[in-house]
Amino acid sequence: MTVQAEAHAAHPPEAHQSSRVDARTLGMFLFIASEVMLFGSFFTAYFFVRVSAHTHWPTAGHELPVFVAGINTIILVSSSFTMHWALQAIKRGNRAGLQAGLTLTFLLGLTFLLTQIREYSRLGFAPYTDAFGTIFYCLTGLHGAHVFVGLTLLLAATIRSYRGHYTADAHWGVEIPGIYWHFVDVMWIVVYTTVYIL
Amino acid sequence: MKNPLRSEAEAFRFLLGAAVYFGLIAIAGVINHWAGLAVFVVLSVGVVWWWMRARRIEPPLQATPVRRGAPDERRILVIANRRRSWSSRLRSIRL
Amino acid sequence: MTAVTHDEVHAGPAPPPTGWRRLLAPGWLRVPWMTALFFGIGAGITVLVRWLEGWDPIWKGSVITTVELTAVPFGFLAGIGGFDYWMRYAAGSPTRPEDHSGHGARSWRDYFRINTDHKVIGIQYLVTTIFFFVAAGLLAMLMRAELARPGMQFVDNQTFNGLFSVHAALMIFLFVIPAFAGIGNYVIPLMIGAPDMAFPRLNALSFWLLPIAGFMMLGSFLAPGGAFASGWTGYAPLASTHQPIGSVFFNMGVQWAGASSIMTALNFLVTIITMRAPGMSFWRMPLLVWANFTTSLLVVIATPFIAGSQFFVMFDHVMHTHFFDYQAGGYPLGYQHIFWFYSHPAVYIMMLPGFGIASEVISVMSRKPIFGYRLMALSLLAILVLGFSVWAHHMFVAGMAPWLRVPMMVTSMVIAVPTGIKVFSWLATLWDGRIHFDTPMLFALGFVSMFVIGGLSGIYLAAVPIDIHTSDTYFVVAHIHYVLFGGSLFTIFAGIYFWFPKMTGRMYDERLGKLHFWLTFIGFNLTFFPMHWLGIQGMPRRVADYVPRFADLNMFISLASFGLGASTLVFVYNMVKSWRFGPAAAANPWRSLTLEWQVSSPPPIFNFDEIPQVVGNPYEYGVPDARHAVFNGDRQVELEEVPTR
Repeated sequence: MTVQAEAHAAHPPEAHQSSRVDARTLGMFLFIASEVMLFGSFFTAYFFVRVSAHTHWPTAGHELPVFVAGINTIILVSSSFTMHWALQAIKRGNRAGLQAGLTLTFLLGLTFLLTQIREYSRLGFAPYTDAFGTIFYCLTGLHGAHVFVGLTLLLAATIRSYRGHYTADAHWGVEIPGIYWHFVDVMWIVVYTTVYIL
Repeated sequence: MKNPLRSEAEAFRFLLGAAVYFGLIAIAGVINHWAGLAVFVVLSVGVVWWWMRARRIEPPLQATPVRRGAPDERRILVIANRRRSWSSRLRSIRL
Repeated sequence: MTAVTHDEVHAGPAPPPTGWRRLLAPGWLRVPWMTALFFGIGAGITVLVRWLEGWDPIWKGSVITTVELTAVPFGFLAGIGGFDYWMRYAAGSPTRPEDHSGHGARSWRDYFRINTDHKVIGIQYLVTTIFFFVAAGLLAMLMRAELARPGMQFVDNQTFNGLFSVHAALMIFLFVIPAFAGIGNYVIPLMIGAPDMAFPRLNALSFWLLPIAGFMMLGSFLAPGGAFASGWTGYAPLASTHQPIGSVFFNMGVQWAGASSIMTALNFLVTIITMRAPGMSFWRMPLLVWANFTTSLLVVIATPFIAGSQFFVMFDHVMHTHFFDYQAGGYPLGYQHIFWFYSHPAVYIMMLPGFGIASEVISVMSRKPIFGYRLMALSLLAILVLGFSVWAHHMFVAGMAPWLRVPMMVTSMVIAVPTGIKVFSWLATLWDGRIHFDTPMLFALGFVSMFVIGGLSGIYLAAVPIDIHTSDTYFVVAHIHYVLFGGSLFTIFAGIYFWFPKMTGRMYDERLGKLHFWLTFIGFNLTFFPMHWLGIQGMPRRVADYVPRFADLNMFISLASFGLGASTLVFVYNMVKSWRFGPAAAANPWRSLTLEWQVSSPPPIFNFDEIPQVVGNPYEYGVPDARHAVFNGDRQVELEEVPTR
C-alpha cells in the first residue's frame, strides 16, 4: 500500500466523462429532487389535516396575511431576477454586475426571511394552538429553513465575488447556488398558492 | 431524460413557468373552485404535452477514447457484444 | 474528480502543525473543544430565544436536548474536519483540492480521520456497521434471554420495549443500509473504471454522519426514562406523547442516518451516470452497479419522507404541535401513511444491493454468464416503481379506508413477479454451471434459498385475511428476519468475503469462513423458523411476557439464538486474523471479469493507472476469448469503434 501511495503521489487521473451532464449540476438536481420529496411529505401532512378537517378552510379564527405575504412573494421572485442578472453579467465578464446582482439577491432574500419572522409574531396563533397552526408554521418554517440555506450559499458566492473569484469562463460557484435559489423560489410559489390562497 | 435544471438559465425559465402556472391556477381558484380545477387540469395536460414534444433527441456520446498509436497502424474491429442464442452460447461454454 | 473548478486558487500542502496549533488542525484534538463550543452555541441561542420570548422555564430539558442533538454533531463534524474545505471555499481563501495527503490510508490511524478515498471510506463504513451489528445483536441476545421463560426475569417492560426498538433501528439504519453503502463505496468506482467517487469530500462527510446516528440511538439508553420504546416504526401518537425523551434520540438519529444515506445515494448516482469508463454503456454495467443505481434512486426519492415523519413526531413531542393529535384537528393515521411511504421502499433499499452482490457472486462462482442480464436489470427497475405502490399493506389492521386494502394487496403480490424473475434467473445461472462452493458462494446460495422462504411468507402476509390473523405476531417477526437476515445479511456476508481479498490484499481463512456459514445458516433456521408456528398460534410480538404454553418453543428459540450469536465470533475472529496475518491475495483470486479484479489487491491509490476501455459484457464466463475490458497495455486486442447499445 505504501509503495503504491508513493508511486501515485501527484494528481488523480482525470475520470472519463460518460455523460453530457455536468456532475455538479446533476448532483444539485438530485439534491433538489430529494428536497422536493421532503416538501412532499410536509404537503402530505398538510392535506391530511385539511381533508380530515371537513370544515371551512382555514379553520375558524385563522386570518392569514395574504396581502403582506403577496408582497413578500414579489420580493422573493424579484430576487430570482437579480440572480439571473448576476449570472448573465459574469458570463459577459462584468464583475461589477455580478457583485451588484449577488448583493441585491442576498438582501432581497434576507428581507423576505425577516418579513416572514415578523409575520409570525403577529399572526395570533402558534404551532401548538391547533392542527392548522401546526401545519402552517411547519410548512412555512420548512421553507424558511431552505431560504436560510440558500442565503448561506449566496453569501459564500457573494464573498467570493468580492475577493476576485469567478470569470466569464469559470462561474460554477454562482451557477449552482443560482439553481438552488430558483428552486427555493419555485417552492415558495407552491407554498404561497396552496397555504395562503387556495 | 432531459435534466430541467441543467443550468441556472434553465432553472430561471422553469421558475417563470412555475409562476405563470400557479398564478393562473390561483386566480381561477379564487374566482371559483371548479374553475381552478379546470385550469389546473388543462395546464397540467398542456405542460406534459409540451414536455414530451420539447425533448430533444441528442446524438449519443463518443464511447471510445481518442485514437492512440500511429495513424497507419492496422487495427482489427472486434464486435464483442453480438448476442447469440442461448443454446449456441451454452454449447460454446467451457465447463 | 470533481470540484476542481477553474476559479480556485490552489495552495500547496499545509505544513504539519506543531505545539498548540495542533489544537486548530482538523482531527481528534479539535473535536472536544469544537463540540463544547457548538454545545454552548446551541444552548446559548435556545436560552436567549426563550428569554426574549418570555417563555418559562428558560432552561427546559427536552428543548435543550433536541437542539443539542443537532448542534453537537455539527461541532463534532467541524472538529474532525468535515467542513474545512468548504469554509475556506466560502471565505474565498485559497483551497487545497490538490492536496491528496488525505487520500488513501498509510496506517490504521488514517481510518480514524476524514479521508476522501472511496476505498478507505468503504472500509470505514464496513467496520463501523459491523460494530453496530454486534451491538444490535447483543441487544437481541438480551431480548431472547428475557423471552427464554415466561414471566419477567431480567428487564422490565419499558426496557424490553427499548431493547427491541434499538435493536431494529440499529440493524436497519446502522447496519444493513450503510453496510451496502460501504460495499458499494468500495466497489462501484472500481467496477465502472473511475478514479474515485464524484464528490469525495461529500463522501467522507456522509460516512462521519453514521457513527453520530449510531451512538445517538445507543445513547438513548442513558437518557432519563430510558431508550425510545415504540418500536423502530415509532408509531404516533404513541411515540409523540407517551414516550420518554429517549424518543427524540431516535428521531434525530434517523435524521442523521437518513442524511448520510441521501448524500451517499446522490454521490452514487452522479458517479454512475458521469464517470463510467469509455465503452461502458448502461447495458454493460455489472449488476451490482445496476442494483446500487436503482437503490440510490429509491433513497433519493423516498428517504425524505421518513425525515418528514420523524420531524412531525419530534415536533409533536417537544413543541406540542398537533400533527397526530385528533382532538386538535390532527390526523393520527397520517403518520403511518408517510412513514410507510418511505419504509416500504426502504425494504428494497435493504435488499436490492444484495441482489446485485448475489448476481456477481453466483455468476463468477458458477463460471457461467448471468442468465437474463437485461431482465435482471429491468426487474430492478420494476421493483423500484412497484415499491412505491404497496405501502399500505402494512396498515391492513390500522383502520385505514377499507377500499385501499385490495389494490394494495394486488400490487404487493405483483412485486413477487420481478422478484421471481431474479430468483429464477439465479437458478438458471446455476443450472449446468461449474459451481465453486467457496464461502461467498455458500452465502449467496443461502441467500437465494432463505429469501425464497421469506418471500413466500411475504405473499401470505400480503393477502388481507391472513394478514389480519397474523398481524403483530411472531409470524411477522419470522418473515422480516427471513428477508432481512436470510436475505440482506447473507448477501452482506457474501460481499464481504467476496471482496475481502480485494479490500485488504489478504485472503481470509476458507475453513473458518465455511464454519461461519454453516453455524449461521443452521442457527438462523433454528432460531427463526419456529417463530412461524408461534405466530400462527397467536403469540404477539413486542411483548416481554407470554402465556406458558409457548414456553418450550421459546426456550428452544432462545438457545438457538445464542448459538447464532456465537457464530458471529467466528466471523469477527476470521476477519481480524486474516486482515493481520492472512496470506497475500492474488489480484484476481476468483478469476472474475469485472474491472475491480483487473487491478492489484488492494488497488492503487487512484484505482487505475489509465482508464480501461470496456469492450464487452461483464459476465461472459466460459465464453472463449470474451473480454469485459482492455487496458492500453493489451496492444493485441486494442480496438476502436466499438458499437455500444
